[in-house]
Amino acid sequence: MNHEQIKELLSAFSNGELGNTQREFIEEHLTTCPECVSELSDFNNVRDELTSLRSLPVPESIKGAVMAQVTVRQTGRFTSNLFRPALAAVALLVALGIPIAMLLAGGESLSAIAQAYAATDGLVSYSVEGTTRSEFQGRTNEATYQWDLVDEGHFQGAIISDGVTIDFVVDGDDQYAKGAPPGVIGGIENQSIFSRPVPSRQSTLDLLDSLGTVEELPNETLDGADSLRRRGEIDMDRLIDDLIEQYRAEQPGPYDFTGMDSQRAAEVSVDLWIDSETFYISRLVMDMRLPTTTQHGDGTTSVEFMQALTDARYSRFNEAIELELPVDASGNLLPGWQAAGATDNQGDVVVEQRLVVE
Amino acid sequence: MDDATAIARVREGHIDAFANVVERYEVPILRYLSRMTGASEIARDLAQDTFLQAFKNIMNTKSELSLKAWLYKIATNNALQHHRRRKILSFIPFLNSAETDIPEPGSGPEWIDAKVDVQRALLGVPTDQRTALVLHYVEGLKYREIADVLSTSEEAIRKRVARGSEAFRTAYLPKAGGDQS
Repeated sequence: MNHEQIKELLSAFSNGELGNTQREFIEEHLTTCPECVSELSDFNNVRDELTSLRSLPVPESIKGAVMAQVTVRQTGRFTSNLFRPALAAVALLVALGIPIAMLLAGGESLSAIAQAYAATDGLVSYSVEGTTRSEFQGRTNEATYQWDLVDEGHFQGAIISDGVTIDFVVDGDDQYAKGAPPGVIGGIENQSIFSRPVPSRQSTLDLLDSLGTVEELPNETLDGADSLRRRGEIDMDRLIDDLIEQYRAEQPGPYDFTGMDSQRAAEVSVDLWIDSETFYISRLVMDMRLPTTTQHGDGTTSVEFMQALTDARYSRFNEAIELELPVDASGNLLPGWQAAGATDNQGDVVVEQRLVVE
Repeated sequence: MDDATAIARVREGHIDAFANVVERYEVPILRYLSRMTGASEIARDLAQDTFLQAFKNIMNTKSELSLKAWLYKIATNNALQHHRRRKILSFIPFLNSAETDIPEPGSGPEWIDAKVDVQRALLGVPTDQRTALVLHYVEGLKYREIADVLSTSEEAIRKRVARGSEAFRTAYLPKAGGDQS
């Protein structure tokens, strides 16, 4: 075995996962290779850090809850999992796509919002850039982003968060990223790096759907264009009541709406600048105050509020946008870029996860 | 009651025997899902799903079923499913952040505080690698057992652990270094 082959095995060596022969090779190599000794020490540190997570508190027992549902199942009334506390929040937001609010809003505002919805729905290509800033427990986080969308499967852009810039180009299954830590493209969709996602076309539609009250403000000029100004609030109570009613009708009990109910305290206001001629949304600001459950070190939990502000500007509506693939004329990747699905010399896929726009 | 006996009794219709299964494996499954998601309430929900799916499907399994590996396999699928489901909601930035409930430094005993950065860095590791890291280092599974859980080869696990370790180190060490200065 040469140096490179041995380097590849150091992690497994550190974890006691090698056979005798390989282990002996490595032990001998280590007596003459300071680089591998240092690398082994790093792997040992990783092992110690991660092993230490065993001692963290474990969530409280679920035995009672499981057995209650097992019994229910035996009597033919197996419950849906959608309304247990934590997953309920997921169901709630899925429900933001239900177009109830637009039907209930009134007057001219309905028209502006409805027309903005129709215009957004007809979008194929566009650009969006903006920032999302959040504050929670005294910590702030800011992400800026710029995306060009050719269509759903083809887009490019950059995200800057926590001092890390990630560039990416997605051309269907050919996907590229630059500047991402190991894990590369998979890391973009990971919230710890890609901490403040971008409002996409579909998410903008969902947002318009969920508006409860809509206030009409004086028109403003934005980038030289006359813009209708609207301010709306997401009607959390109505949304949650509606969803609960719908699920009660569809699913047999027992129910637990605790998590769902906790979201009633959320306050989300949406400011819109809508082009008075095309009805495209040229700017969208979301101001959010959101209940967040925190688990403390002593095992207790408390609900605190996270404040977040998203300010996004849209442009180049349905214009021809071309992707700039990070490859040279020979098809080789430009320096610093990595490709999803690329294989290493072992034939393994280096980057397995794919970017998606929802 | 050992695993084989418990499974046999559940198959015979003795629901109470399943309590034995939950009792034996809820701590590892809850711990595994907690470390995978960084959120205890989510972990509890996913763990409930895991055991309910196991109960529902136990009739369809082979008699020589390795209960432990099977439960980890279901739990892993649930964790990945949760990850995919989250993406559907990705436009609402607050929800992603609100989901994790890693304690803030200073909010608990010192020994727990020391682990906060470790857990945060772990969440920065790509999911497939994180799965391998948590199963190995936290749950103590051998590479062969992880390969069984994830239906892949030991060689693939060796690479995932190695790459995941690198990714973890990249995410963790700059922070740890900064804290020391």
